[in-house]
Amino acid sequence: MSLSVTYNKTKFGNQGAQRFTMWMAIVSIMMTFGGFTSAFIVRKGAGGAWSSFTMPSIFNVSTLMILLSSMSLIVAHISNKKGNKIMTAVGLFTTTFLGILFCAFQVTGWSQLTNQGIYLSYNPNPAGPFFYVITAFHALHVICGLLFMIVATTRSLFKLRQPTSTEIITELENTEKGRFAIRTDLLSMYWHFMGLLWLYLFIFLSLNLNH
Amino acid sequence: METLHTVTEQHAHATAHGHDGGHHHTETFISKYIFSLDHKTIGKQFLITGMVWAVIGGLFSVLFRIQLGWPDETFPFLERMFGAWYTDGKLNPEAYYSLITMHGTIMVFFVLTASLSGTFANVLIPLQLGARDMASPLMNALSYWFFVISGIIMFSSLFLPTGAASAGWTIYPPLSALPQTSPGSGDGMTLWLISMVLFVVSTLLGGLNYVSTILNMRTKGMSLFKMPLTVWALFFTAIIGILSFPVLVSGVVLLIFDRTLGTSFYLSHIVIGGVPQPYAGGSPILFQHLFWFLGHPEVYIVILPAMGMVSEILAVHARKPIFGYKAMIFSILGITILGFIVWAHHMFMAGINPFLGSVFTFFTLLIAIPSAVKVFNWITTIWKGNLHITAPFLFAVGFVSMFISGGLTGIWLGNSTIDIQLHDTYFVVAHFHIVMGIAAFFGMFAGIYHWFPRMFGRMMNTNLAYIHFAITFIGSYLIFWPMHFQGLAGVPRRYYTNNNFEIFAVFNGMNKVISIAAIIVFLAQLLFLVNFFWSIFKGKKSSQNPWNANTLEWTSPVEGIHGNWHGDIPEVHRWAYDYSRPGNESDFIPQNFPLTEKEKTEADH
Repeated sequence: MSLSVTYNKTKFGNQGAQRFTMWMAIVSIMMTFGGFTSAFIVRKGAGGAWSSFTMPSIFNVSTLMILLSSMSLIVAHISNKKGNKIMTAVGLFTTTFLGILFCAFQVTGWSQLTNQGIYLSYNPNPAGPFFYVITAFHALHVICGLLFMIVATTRSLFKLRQPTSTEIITELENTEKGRFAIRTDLLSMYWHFMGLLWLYLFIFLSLNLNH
Repeated sequence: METLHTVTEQHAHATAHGHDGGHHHTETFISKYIFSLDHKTIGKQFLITGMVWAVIGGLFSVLFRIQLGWPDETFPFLERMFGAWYTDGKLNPEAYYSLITMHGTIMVFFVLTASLSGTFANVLIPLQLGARDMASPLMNALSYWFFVISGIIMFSSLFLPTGAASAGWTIYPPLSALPQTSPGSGDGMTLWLISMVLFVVSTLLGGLNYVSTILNMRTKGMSLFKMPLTVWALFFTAIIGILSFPVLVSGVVLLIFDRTLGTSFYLSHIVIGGVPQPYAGGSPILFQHLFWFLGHPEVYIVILPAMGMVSEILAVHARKPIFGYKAMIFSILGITILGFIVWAHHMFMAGINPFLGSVFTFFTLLIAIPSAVKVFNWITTIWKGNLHITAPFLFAVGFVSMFISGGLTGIWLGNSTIDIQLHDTYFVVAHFHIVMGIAAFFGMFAGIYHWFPRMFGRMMNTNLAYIHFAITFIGSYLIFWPMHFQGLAGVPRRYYTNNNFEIFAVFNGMNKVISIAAIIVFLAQLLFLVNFFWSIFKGKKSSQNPWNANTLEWTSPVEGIHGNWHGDIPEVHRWAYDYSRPGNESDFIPQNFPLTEKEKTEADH
């Protein structure tokens, strides 16, 4: 009972509002990619020049990486709640590492694609460029998340344990621990969303690349 | 359970804020006025930055109105002032196109989106809801500073040797995509696009914060259906922004790629100067879809805050409860939803499927219903009211007048068949300037005159305000009413001159009248600025509640403290519109006044 109170009504700013803000931010990112993918569909459906190509095979691996990174983040989250500082740090580190691998495999995938002769620049056909822009815009969002993930990993090594949920009730916002808990909480939401967003883009592009 | 909640909550308040009320921060000038995190200061920053932009945007319109009114005259003094934009005392055609583009961009985005929402959402949301500040004061400040950076980039594009962007505020490709097509499509367009991406970041940071604050930070007793209509309007405005601006980003990103990396998202079959270009497979219509998916909701982003403020102001100054409070809310909701499914009515003549056109016509005409509900409620609110003819009241009534005049022509333009004749003529210019330009400005002026005492602790000069109103109201109609006739006769918008069309020579006199009126109205706004800045320092000191209004912002100390209230935040017991309640000795009952015994028994039954 008192949980919701202190949660929602601290002095300036509060966690309920911050989580909510992250949800709204996620909605707005969804709208951006909704814009891209509907532009893709509309343009393809309108007919006209459209080169066919297949998804770079390495993207299967990168998909696996980002899904695994979500799982290691869940491990970190649970360990953190239990107060297991080593597993928290390991979980966050693994997530960061897998995130970096994801980006590296994306770059590899783009070079596979250029080897197929599908270019981004000076390509007089929108199919390839659409693929590059959509995947790169997603990668850019992942990189932003990674920056925060690196900060969280570093902090988890020094700050060790974050507060349990009971501590959050009483001390939230007033303590360094509390602020850290909120930040990692928001970061988790963002990171899982990046995974889901990629899954959507991966399936969407796999289904729609060819005629 | 519910009671326990509130008890603990109050306790938390008392401990957290008892400390805060009497505490004085040692603030430097910079932390207090420049990099402030206080929502009231950020609101004022948005307002004053917006005023600078409005003067620039207004000045541009005067310059191109001079060209349209006197296309054959030369103006050496303007050449001395504006240098390269003029040759032999005449405005260059390229400069003319830059001016109309920048006028639109500045007015729509910088003044009526960023400044209007930014000012009043910041000042009013926490104060009217009983919050110490925004959900995230830092994001709030970032929102302002992204707006400033985006503005600086846009402003700097004016000084490029090739001129600012000149493809119109809608930046349709291919004109905007290929630097060879016009001088303004070179570096000017690049800066425009960078500026707009930063602007979207600013809007999103602000919008996320407004929504989050409204849903999470209300004081005790402030249920959603006790919120003033200003907050409701700002709430839906922020939601529209969050849903539509990201789509503009998608469209703009693809355009940036077309410009820089030679992709063909929007380009196909282009021949410039007899040379075929290598682009194939792109679709310029695609850009229009992405642009107008933002562009149409954008007009509601502009008008909704004004509607909310006008609702509040009319009730306060007519000393009557707002008529149809819930109808007002649901009509805003209706406008919000419908606003997202009408974008293609901007593209009737762009080559979309005529069947699609009739679907969009249908939805467009549906918007007339919630709009008419609102107009009906405003008129009924002031009907037989105890009218206090103050400056905010006059501007609010002016808003309603403009909204009706401009809204009616919207019904014409919403029909895809009538649009065949009227599209891209001065009829369209007249329509959208009256319904979203002038109307939103009237709403903004009403808001500034009404909340000036809360923002600066002083009153604005009333007589100057009356003169400002009279000139602006009559002048605005003088500018835009004649344009309807020009548009019906087919005078195309955006043209540098109509000298080559002999049939339009009949409008030469009319064009001069419009231009003279535009200059006078522009000068009248300078009068407003004088009044505004003079009153900040020398205005009459405001009392605690100068308009005898009910909303919570008038319970906060006049001097405006960090944290908004000394001690506890007031609780809310009633809606915001208990004016002239029968049996009550004063003609208003503030929201924080507990229900009387009689009211309680009435509520029980």
